[in-house]
Amino acid sequence: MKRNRHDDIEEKLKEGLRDLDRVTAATPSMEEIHMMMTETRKRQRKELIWFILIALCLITVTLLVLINDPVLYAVGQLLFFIIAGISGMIYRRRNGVRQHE
Amino acid sequence: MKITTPEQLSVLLHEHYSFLYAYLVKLTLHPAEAEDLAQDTMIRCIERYAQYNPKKAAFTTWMIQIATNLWIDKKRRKKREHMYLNSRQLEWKLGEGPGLEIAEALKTLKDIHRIPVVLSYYYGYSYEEIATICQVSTGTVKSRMHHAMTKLRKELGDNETQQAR
Repeated sequence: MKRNRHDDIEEKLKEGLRDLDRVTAATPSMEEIHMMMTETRKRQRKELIWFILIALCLITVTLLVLINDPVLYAVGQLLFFIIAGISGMIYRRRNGVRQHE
Repeated sequence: MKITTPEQLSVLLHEHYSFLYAYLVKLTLHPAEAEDLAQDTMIRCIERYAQYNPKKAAFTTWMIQIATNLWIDKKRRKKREHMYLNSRQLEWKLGEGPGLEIAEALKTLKDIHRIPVVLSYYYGYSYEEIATICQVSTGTVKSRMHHAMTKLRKELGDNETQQAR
């Protein structure tokens, strides 16, 4: 009896999900998809160029500091590790608290 | 089929748009939101099609995985903004019918429980495939399905009892 009731509800669920297919939207034309692809690729190319430029700038600055003032470079590295360590610890502690909320 | 040219991808996206939209309607229960997400999913597919491996999954499975992740991310971001601007939109589009009753019952489930139900009962995906799409273990899928079906049986059973009275 219970099994039949379960089967009925599963059938009702399937029928309801099929009924939701009545909600439709117009499929974009091939031209629209092509345009979307062109725009996406253009944006990706621009992002890649910016990424390479920023990376090159950072590498150049790092190398210049390392060559001209190695002590400053070492201090910078030390500060970076200290700040990253403290931030990491704070982040982990906050996440731990959130999990227990 | 490995996608090697943008033309192949655009044909696949065109062919599977309706499939994607139908899935997103069941996931979001909000037609306008589903349309926005379908667009976002297509853009993500264009950005990442080089990563698609046909040996691992069918194109539709890959697309559904992207759509599911985008929906979960979007909901997480917009949690505080009350994204359901018009919760009656589905009602307007569907009118009377079993779809609306099921949509109301599905709305009571959390996404993590609703997604496996839709994937299993409508698309017929196996537990293993659902686990791949949702990026969780098969055991977790089974447990979520069990929880979701218990709740749905209660919801739909209650509705039936009320209608009988």
